[in-house]
Amino acid sequence: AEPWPENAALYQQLKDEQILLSDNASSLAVQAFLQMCNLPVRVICRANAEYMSPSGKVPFIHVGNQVVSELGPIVQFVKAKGHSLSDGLDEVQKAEMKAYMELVNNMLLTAELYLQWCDDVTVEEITHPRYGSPYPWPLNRILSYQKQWEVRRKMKAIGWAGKTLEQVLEDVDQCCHALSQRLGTQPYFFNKPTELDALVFGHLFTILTTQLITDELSEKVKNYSNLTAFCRRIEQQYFGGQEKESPTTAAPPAKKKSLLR
Amino acid sequence: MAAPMELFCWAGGWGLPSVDPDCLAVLTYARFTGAPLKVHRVTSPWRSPSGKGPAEFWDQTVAFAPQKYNADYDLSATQSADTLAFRACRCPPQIHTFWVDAKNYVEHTRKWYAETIPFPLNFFLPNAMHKRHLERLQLMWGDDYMEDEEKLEKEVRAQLYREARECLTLLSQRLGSQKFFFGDSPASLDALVFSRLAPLLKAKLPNGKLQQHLKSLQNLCNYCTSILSLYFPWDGGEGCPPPHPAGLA
Repeated sequence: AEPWPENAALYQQLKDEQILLSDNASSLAVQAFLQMCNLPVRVICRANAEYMSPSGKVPFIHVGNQVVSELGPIVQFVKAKGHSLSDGLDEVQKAEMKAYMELVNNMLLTAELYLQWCDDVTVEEITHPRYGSPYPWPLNRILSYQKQWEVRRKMKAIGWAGKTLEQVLEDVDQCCHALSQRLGTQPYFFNKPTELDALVFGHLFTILTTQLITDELSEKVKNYSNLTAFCRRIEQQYFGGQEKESPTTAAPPAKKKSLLR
Repeated sequence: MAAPMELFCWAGGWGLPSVDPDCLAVLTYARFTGAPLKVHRVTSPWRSPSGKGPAEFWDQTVAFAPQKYNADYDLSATQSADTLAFRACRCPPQIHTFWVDAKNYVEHTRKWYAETIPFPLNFFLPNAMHKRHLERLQLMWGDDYMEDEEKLEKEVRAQLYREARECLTLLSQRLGSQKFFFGDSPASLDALVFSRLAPLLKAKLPNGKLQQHLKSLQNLCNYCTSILSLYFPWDGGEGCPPPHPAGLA
């Protein structure tokens, strides 16, 4: 394995006042993945992280002289460096792992985007103020509306534009149900940590700990006790202890709520 | 069930009962379960009374199928979970192969639709559909996707094909030597996978890179041909509908 530079860095938006639910989830998933690989990174918050990223999406990592964004490419990149979590799986398990990762991206991530850009109350109360926070008026409004327009077009393309919030929450429930069934009583989805565990943790933990207008989304996840236990376990194992000393790990965006209730 | 369900779907061709993957999925599901389905084969998308696409129809069909017609009734909880997960792997590359790849679109897809759609719609409908698919891909694949043709030709296409090949390999590995994805009886996932693979296998595409890869995965090819011969014994002909289009009920 090639040596991992000490100054490796992960970039995301400002944690307290800017980052949105979906970006925080993606960033946390990458952090969890790198922790599982035992590759340390420094988390750097920048207001313009989205514009720094080569794909326009956060998070991205800066390792040596290379810049890679999003979980999928980062997994590939790290694998090329000789670190992999999924090497021990057989072919069928690899296929299943990829399928579940698609499921999380297609349903949980899309539901988060829907909630923060298509639910009118959330857009007004949370998304626009947070997204535009680093910029002066009228740029904050312009950039928010530009982003909103872009996400809504995407929703239309995948057929989610016509959905109601209830339908989206129902989809989230279905997805959590499938994940919960698949996890069962195992500690991880495939007995040892893989990138799927990192991705699921990133999304579920963020949903559970982020204060939104209503609790409907997190209530859906809380119905599945093995999923909440899973999040708690990964948090303690990979982010435990550091949380208090360095605010750079896994602090959820908005006001923090206890995961254990 | 009082009145049989009705399906408005694209006509058959390429040795398949319908050329549209979404229509094919619903048709296959109906054949699997023996649900009575009255099929109207149409040659333009405006003939559907509700204007609803078969994709939405699919969700309703599977979600509300009564026990008698529910192919997933016997699946265990984990198998249902797997169904949901594999359903998420919809391949945008397939849209690309049929609708965006210039050679395939002009010489194969547009030709078929132009011959099927009645005059004068055949002059602009295929192009409208091409544009819609292109736009959809653009949105699903990020903003700068296909902004300029040169870039598409090299990077994006390579990435698309890589992912598509990976997706096919995944399915092949998951299927293994089984007859269907969950053992000996077909489930909704089988209908969905079949509807995505069969057109790719059956169509005579001028640019058959992806097709070549599918053909090298022997178990997937056998899987498609066996479903075709088991459940669509009459529809094999070149686009001629069966004498009684109702299901097997």
